[in-house]
Amino acid sequence: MIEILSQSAFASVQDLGRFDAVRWGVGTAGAMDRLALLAGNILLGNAEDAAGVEVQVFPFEVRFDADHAFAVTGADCAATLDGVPLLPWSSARACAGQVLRLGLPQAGRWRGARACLTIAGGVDVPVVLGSRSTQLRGAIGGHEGRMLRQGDRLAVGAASGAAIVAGVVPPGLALPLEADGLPAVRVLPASEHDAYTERSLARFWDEPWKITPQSDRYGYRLAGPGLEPKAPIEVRSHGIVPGVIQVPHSGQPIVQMCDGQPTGGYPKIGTVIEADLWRLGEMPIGTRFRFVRVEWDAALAAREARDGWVAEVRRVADLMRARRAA
Amino acid sequence: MRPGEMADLAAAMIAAGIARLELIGPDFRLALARGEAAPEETDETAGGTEAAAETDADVIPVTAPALGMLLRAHPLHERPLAGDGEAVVAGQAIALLRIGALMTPVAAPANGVIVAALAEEGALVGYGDRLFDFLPHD
Repeated sequence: MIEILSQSAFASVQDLGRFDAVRWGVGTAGAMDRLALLAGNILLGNAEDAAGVEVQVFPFEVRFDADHAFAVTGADCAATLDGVPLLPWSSARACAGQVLRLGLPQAGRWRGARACLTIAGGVDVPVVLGSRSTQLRGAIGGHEGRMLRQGDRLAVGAASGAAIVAGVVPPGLALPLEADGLPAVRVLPASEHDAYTERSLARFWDEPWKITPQSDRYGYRLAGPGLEPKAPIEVRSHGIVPGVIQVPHSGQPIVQMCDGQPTGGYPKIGTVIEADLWRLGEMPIGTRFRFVRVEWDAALAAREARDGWVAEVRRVADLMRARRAA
Repeated sequence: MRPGEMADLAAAMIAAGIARLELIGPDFRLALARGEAAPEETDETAGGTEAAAETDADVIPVTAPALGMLLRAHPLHERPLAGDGEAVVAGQAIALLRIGALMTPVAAPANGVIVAALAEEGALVGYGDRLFDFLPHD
């Protein structure tokens, strides 16, 4: 068991997401930085879809009720275990009674917004519609379908593999992506892209966008140059997925994120490619970033590169596991 | 593995100045260690001039728990995990050994301070190599 000690936690149980229920109108939820969740689970010998705790408001504290191997990945939040500093993107072992504290995210060579706490055995909440992720809109999954709060106790599953104590070179360093010195995400043009004025499109692709405070797990509202359609656009409500960039009448785009609803009626100018959603998920409010236009082949290549990174982490972790077992 | 290959590995270890070698395959584990008789280049400086202020009897070596590239700072940070002379607590990571995408922490053997680094930043070190002279505190 782990117990949440923080008063206002705004943390939630997340796995890789609930992808089989979208057809029933259930959004995917899932970790905003899936690479952080995967890296933690790989270090701990967990199944890759084991659930962890995503933390987005700091400081955050939990107490371990039993001995557990755990990992803290994602934002570098100056984590400590009973006051002893832990390294970012690393696993460690806790003894019963020890308190893990995640401090404020640090600005270093890469800055993240969300930390992921994984535990050997995974957070053991019931699987609902194929996933343990918290679906806030429907109040299902996760821990009682809601954000965690002080005093909540989360069960931990039986450890399935051998955990190693090691660190992962953060993907923000291993898979860097910038445009003109700003962090970037790659975008596929979407169905209404060509309905915007040439000037709007030029600015959409060439100017920075800022993540406003009205941004959360549901979606990121961006501030930047206004986007104007050539003529008013009327679209019927249609299916949308995380990454879709909608343009409401204000002309300021909204990127759907993991808790976004699965339908929408605004025009779509583009879609952040799946391989770059973790980058956006880790960008703090106030970040200025760029959209980089890609086509289908480049999006697939980016996904391969991302999956290649995960495979490399898994390969070296398995080597270390074999070495320690020998 | 054939005995001849083991002799080749041993010769390569001597040529490269490697003190210990560990090789793990699907169904075997081979550990080779050089005898104490052969003097090591690093021992000449270790605990000698730089650590002259401390009594050598109290200084203990910190050896590499795995092979890898020695990093004294986390890749996200400028500041070293533990500078020379900076107090650390037992078990705290004082360096990292990077292998590909992963890093193995080198833990402080006790509460104390690093007296001297015996390997360069970025150097490829082998299992058992001496990395630091360390002075434990009570």
